[in-house]
Amino acid sequence: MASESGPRQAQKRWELENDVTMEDEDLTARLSKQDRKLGAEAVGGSSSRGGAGGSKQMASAAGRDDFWKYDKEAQRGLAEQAPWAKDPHYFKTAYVSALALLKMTIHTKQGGNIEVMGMLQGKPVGDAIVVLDAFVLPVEGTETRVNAQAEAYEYMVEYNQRSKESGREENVVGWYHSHPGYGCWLSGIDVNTQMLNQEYTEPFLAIVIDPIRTQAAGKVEIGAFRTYPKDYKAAEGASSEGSYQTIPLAKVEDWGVHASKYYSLEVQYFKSGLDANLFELLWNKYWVSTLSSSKGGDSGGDYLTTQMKDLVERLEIEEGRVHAGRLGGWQLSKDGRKKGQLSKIAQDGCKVATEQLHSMLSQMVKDRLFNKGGVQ
Amino acid sequence: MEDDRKSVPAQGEGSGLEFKLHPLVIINISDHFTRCSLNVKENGRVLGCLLGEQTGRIVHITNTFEMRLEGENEEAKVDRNFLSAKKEQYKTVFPDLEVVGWYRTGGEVREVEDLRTHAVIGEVNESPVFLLMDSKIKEGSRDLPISLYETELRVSSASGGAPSPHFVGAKYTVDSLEAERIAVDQVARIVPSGKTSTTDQLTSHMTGMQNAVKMLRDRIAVILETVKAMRDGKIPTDHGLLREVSSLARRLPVGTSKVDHELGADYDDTLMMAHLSVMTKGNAKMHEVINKMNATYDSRVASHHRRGLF
Repeated sequence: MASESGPRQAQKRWELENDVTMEDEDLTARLSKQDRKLGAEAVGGSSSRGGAGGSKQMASAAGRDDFWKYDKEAQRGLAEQAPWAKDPHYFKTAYVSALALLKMTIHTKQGGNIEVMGMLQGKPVGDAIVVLDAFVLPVEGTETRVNAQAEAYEYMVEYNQRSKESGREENVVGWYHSHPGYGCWLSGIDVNTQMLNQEYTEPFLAIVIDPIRTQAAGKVEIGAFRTYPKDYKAAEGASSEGSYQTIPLAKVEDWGVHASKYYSLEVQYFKSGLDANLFELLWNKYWVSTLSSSKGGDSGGDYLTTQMKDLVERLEIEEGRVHAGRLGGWQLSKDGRKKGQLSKIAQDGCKVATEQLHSMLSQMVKDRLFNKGGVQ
Repeated sequence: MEDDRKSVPAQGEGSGLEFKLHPLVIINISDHFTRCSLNVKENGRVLGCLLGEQTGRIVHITNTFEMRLEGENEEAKVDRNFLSAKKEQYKTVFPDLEVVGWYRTGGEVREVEDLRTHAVIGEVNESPVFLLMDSKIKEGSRDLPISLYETELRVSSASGGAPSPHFVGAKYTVDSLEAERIAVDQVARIVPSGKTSTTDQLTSHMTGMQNAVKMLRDRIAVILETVKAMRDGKIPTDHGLLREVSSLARRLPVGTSKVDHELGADYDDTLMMAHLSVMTKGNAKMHEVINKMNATYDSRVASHHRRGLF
């Protein structure tokens, strides 16, 4: 009983934070109840077509079993209506299942410093794209070459067909690839790929994961994007430029040029009722690895050094600029666009330091627990 | 781990292999089950293949794919074409992974039926493992509803003296890669996603640590209770257990002076980084202020000049 307090408390806290409560009945009853609720929903017509109304309540529950239910008719209807064709900003949220997140994180991590890619399976629900599963494509490449070749296409079609045979009705709703160490955004080539796909295979979503930053930050660094049509002019602040993130010097040009051509979607995770229960049980065995993890290990140090180096380079450039400004009178430094550069560098520096502090904190906790114990 | 499964002897010799189960496998099976019970039939059983890697005596079970059944109900057979096609697909993208066994959801082992499926997988892997997951989780249960079985040949009177395969329980532990751990942490505890401020990050990090430490404390409390009860004679003394407890206690403190030293150096480095970042931040602010000063001062000077001229 006592040992259950860990996960229980975590759950309680989560419930409090998100203003939801989970019924504390016995689990089987909870499961069957959810099933019944789903049944009722199915009888009441496909509520998913209701759009915004349905998606509001979606975010609240922990077990999202209804996402697994595939309604062929409703999906076909939705595909015919294609509401996303009228509004370039139609999709606002990406729901990613626990399974898809796990698969993507592991795959991108295995890729290491090489970019890898795969496809997403799911369906559109209201103004959200639901990603239920992901699969790996046999392509890898450097930054300039992540585009699926003929062989990969063949594989994709074959895989999808096999999936359908085994009862997976979901279609491909997008693709994911990794940006090892340089953040989640779309490069010029990514934008082109995504634009092409959005033209022919809507709905289509692009997800980018940074495995190296994931490791450094201790949380999955993920971004979900959709591009605007070619001739669309994004409203001020609506494009991805609004959200600031650290981009290495070598990539910053590529990022800046294309940043106004796409926007990012909010990423939310969901899991089924069974998943939720399993995760809770898993935690009973899992706390050990949380305690024993050390962020500094493996490629952590390497990543830290590259980040520091990048910071230094940017500082040097900035220093040069300030000097030039002083010599040529202050008018030069009034050049408004560059004004925030130094504060951006400071922000990045803080981020690196915070991450390092976090891992140090865990080390100190462990030191206290296992080395300094007994010495009060 | 193996409790009262009646149809199977609780513990066999087995092959002596060590099984490491990865969270992805569990979630994959859960996904398969949820999907089937919602789209095909409620609480139907689902079958699939386990993929993994074997190095030495350790088998890492890291991935799965589903299997298709031919026919209905009890007579259903595994679709071999589908199986081999799927196997090829996974081979293309994960060249290191081999089929190591299969899984099924359900309450208990059904010897005859499961041995038949086992034989099909046996065509791919010589000694497959069988993973059984109970989709109905008992309230208050603290272990994963998963059991692992291997087969072993045994001579029994029922089969007329000829050796026939039987399932025996196998032990497993849950293992995960670093990336897997982060992802599980994230979905299991629903760490705020997307744009998190640094404060949020710190809170979630510390909460994770706190929960883990609490769990550790609880476990130690359990050991302490047991030892106390043994001392008071409430339960019989288990010498093996006591030896384990004492060896555990003797391992503390874990770190040597060298580790201590390294940690100190690391600590200093981190402090230095914090200082540097604060200094950069101060610099940036300073820069901003100077720019503003320059701008206002200069315009004032300029306007003074202008006024002076008139």
